[in-house]
Amino acid sequence: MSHQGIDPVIHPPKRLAAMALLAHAQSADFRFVRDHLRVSDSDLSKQMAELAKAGYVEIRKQGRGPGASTTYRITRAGRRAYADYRAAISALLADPAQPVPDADVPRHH
Amino acid sequence: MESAEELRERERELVAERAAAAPYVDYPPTPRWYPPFMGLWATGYTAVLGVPREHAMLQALGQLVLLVVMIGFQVWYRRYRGTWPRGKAPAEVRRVLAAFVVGAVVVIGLVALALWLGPLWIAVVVAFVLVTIGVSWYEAVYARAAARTRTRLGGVA
Repeated sequence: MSHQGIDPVIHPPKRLAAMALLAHAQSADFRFVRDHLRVSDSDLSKQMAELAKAGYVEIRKQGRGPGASTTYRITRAGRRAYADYRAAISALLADPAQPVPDADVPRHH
Repeated sequence: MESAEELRERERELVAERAAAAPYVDYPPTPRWYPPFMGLWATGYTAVLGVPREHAMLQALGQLVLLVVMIGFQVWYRRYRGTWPRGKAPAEVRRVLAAFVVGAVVVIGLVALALWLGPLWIAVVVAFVLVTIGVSWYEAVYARAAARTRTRLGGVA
């Protein structure tokens, strides 16, 4: 976790959208998340790999070839991190004196 | 006046709100056969409930078949949608979900009443008609609520 409670893993807009979506779904498949985020296949894989590496998302792959499917599910840690992130952002918006970190340059631990 | 930073964070809030609503409001067209399918399922369930007690085995078998059919349908429908929503729904959709619960209780009550008072065939017809009409209505109202939500959040209705 970075200072101010803003989690740099969640902060970039694409990952924030993915976390918000998965926090409100039992699970979502690759196509659904990709279409909502309007990103390429490779970009989605990259973003989701970052979330999975942080332990926030579980990636399930079934089958191989044209019939294969990839499903994403938020983990308990991911749900908690997302709730903390939302609370931190709300606090920042309530107190504009605090600077908000740059979203497009994710900083890792 | 808001600073550029605040505007950026408010835009981020909107991104999160849109994404949170997506599992509820972004879905492919519901197949036309869905309402009559649910009507037929309810018809089957009502018919199974009307099986005399001395044929308890037949009744249990009928319920099992209907359960398997419904589970199979749910599995297919989840794949068709690509997701399954959970948690807090957008305000527009919440109202429709509440109406669905009330409507379902009313329909179940009316079918139970028909099953109790009249011959089985009347209850079966009542179940088919009420469920088919009820599901058609629900799907139409839900689609309008989903479109309103998408419009509010700045997406394409």
